[in-house]
This record gives sequence, C-alpha cells and structure tokens, in this order.
Amino acid sequence: MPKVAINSTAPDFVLTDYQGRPVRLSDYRGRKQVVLVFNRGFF
Amino acid sequence: MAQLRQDWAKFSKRDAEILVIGPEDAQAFADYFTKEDLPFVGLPNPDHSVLKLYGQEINLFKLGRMPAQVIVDKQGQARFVHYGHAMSDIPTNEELYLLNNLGRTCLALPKSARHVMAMPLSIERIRRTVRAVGRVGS
Repeated sequence: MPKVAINSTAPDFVLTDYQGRPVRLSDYRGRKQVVLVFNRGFF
Repeated sequence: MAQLRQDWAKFSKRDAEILVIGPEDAQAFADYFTKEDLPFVGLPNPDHSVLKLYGQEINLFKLGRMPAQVIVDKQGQARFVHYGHAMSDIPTNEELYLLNNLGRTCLALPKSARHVMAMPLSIERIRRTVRAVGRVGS
C-alpha cells in the first residue's frame, strides 16, 4: 500500500508559468485553496 | 481540460486556484492554453522536478506518470490526493468540486473514513467516499 502523506504540508515549489511569471505554491497560503492537476500530456 | 474550464468559475468562487503541471515545455503550454482558451495557471515542468518531488514525497505516479490531483488547503496542507491507474480514471470536476467544498468537513470525519480518503483511490472509491461524506455532512 503506497503511503500518501495526506494532511501534511504539500511540498512547496516554484515554477515559471507559460507566460513567464514565477508561481510559488506557498504564495497561495492563507489566500486560496489550490487544486494541483498533474497532467500526463495534452496531446 | 474542457470540462475543467467549464467548472473553473465554481472553483474560482470557492477561492480555489487550479494549477496545471505537465511535462511539456512553455511553448506547448502556450499553444494549448491559447487554443483551448484555458483560464488556469499553466506550469510547464519539462525537467519533471515538481512531478518528481510529488512522486517522491506523496507517492504520486507510483505506477507511472498517470493523471493525478492534489487539493491543497489554505494552510498549505494536502487534503486530498488522487491518482489514476488509467487516463480515463480521473474524478469528474463535480466530484473534485465536492471534495474541495467538503475540505473542512473531511477533517471531522471518523478516522475510518479519513483512512479511505488517504488511500490511493479508484474512481469507484471516490464516488463512494463522496456519497459517504454527503451522508455524514447532512
């Protein structure tokens, strides 16, 4: 059974969005919930 | 993705941002997001760093890189994790929305129900859980 770290802090990351803006997960803290959608591929 | 866009307003009203992370490069994201007019935050991750981070730390993608969703609450806690065993094994937006909506309710669930929430879920299991949560909440 894979261990899923539910109810623990989601690992923080910074990525640049496709329009060149930096996006940090922790910047949403206290402001918004986040739905992370990990996509395998669009095409 | 098209379905996700239709439901985006609902997520947005719930103070939820949708971040789409994928292995394509920025140009592929730009092409696709422009063509489909997607309002989400699109995060190219061609070096797979975040995909790997989540794979390692919360064991997403254990069975290969399948679609996966993680709901992170306002305190930065991962409250719901799902990964599919097949491309079609994705919760509907209605189900994701319900789970999102019920984020706080889930904490009040009996431990046994939370255990179900914490397991890698099949789509059938999610549907059962959503129904169970609905009952507990009502």
